[in-house]
Amino acid sequence: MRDQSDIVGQVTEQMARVNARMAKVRHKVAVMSGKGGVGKSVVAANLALAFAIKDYRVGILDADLNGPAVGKMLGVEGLPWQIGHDGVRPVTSPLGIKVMSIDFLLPDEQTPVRWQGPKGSDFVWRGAMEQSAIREFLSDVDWGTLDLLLFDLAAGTHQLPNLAQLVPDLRGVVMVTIPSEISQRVVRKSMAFVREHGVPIIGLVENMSTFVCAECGHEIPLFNSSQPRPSSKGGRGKIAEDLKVPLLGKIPFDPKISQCSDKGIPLLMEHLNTPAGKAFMQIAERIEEYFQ
Amino acid sequence: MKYLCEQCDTVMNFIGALGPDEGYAREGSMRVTFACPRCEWRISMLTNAQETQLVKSLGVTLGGRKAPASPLELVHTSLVEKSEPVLHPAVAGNSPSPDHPLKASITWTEEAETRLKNVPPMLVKMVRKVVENYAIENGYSVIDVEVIDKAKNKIGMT
Repeated sequence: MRDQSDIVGQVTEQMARVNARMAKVRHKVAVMSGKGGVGKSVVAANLALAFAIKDYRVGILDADLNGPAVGKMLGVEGLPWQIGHDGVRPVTSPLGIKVMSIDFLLPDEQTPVRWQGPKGSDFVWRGAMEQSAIREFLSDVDWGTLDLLLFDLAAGTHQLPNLAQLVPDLRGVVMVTIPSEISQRVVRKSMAFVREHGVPIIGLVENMSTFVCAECGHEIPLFNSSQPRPSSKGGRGKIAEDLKVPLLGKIPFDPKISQCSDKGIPLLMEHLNTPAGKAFMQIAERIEEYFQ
Repeated sequence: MKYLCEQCDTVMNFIGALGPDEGYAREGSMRVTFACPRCEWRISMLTNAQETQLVKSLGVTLGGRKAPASPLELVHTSLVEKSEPVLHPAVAGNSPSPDHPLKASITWTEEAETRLKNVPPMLVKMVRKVVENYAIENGYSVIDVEVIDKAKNKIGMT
């Protein structure tokens, strides 16, 4: 008997395919948060557009397999997935951003991701299946040459070790939080976890930091622990100071953000000159400085 | 996982794995064989259904791959409910290629150029590209205010 399955050989070949694809991508950045509901996907989608405005060739992988949102936010929901000469073609949004999401493989927007396999014991293999799905999205999607590929990770930290193994030259993580004490407690844990895995932290984004009155422009803190606005040189807020990471920016709460996301257009396209729009551009500039 | 040959007090070597439909390994099991390097005593482990699924979830083909994997093969074959892919047109894409022949011949009317002045300077290049892509996709060689409005409507902008 010989090892007909050659499982090690097959896994090695899979990794070679990932490496070949990722070699054509200059910067790979994960957008993550310790907790759900902090607006991570909104930040990822608007950062994608901010960099596209800066003339970067941008792709975004929606790695949140059980709660994909990026396709909807970038106006490409419901489009079919297409097979080209060199793998699956990412869907290109009207704004020129290449998008891949498991949403494209589902029959409609109501259908959740359900995997085939032995019933009642999916906890045994679900994690491996989800990891393999991310690996296939990297190796089998024809991303082409990109300046930036953003990974919109699911809430929590569980996806990062897998991503760091698949993409060893990950430039770093953009950590999204809101200024609530609970979210900040969790983000501290997440940052410790990221550091343990040797992945650089590019910086912290504080979402929903304040509310800006549309009538008078007065800014009101939404949470007790809102941080001081970063200085023009990239000053730090409390949590960023404690954790020794740059505060990339603070995004004020603005109902237009969710209105635009629902329409499938990132806020920046329609409201670039609002405080939130400016904050997204500032965050992109700080990330760009980090790249340099 | 490792096995010990008690008789020789030696760690057994992995010999190979057979898929769930081969040899003795049927009914969803995978047969994994080890042998003692000293006495050549062999032992085969039969996995249970969950363990077999765990290995399959790595995206490997038990029993060996006989043909190259198709794109997103594991994801697509493993989803219970799924959509089917379509073939991408050989040349055109969701957005036209930068060297599309129509691109060079596109002109903007004066009125359309004036409209661009209302766009924040940082966005002008992107808006120009979006509108031109729309024009190419829809066969316009002259971009006027009407084409701009149609492009805006298409991407949902007000």
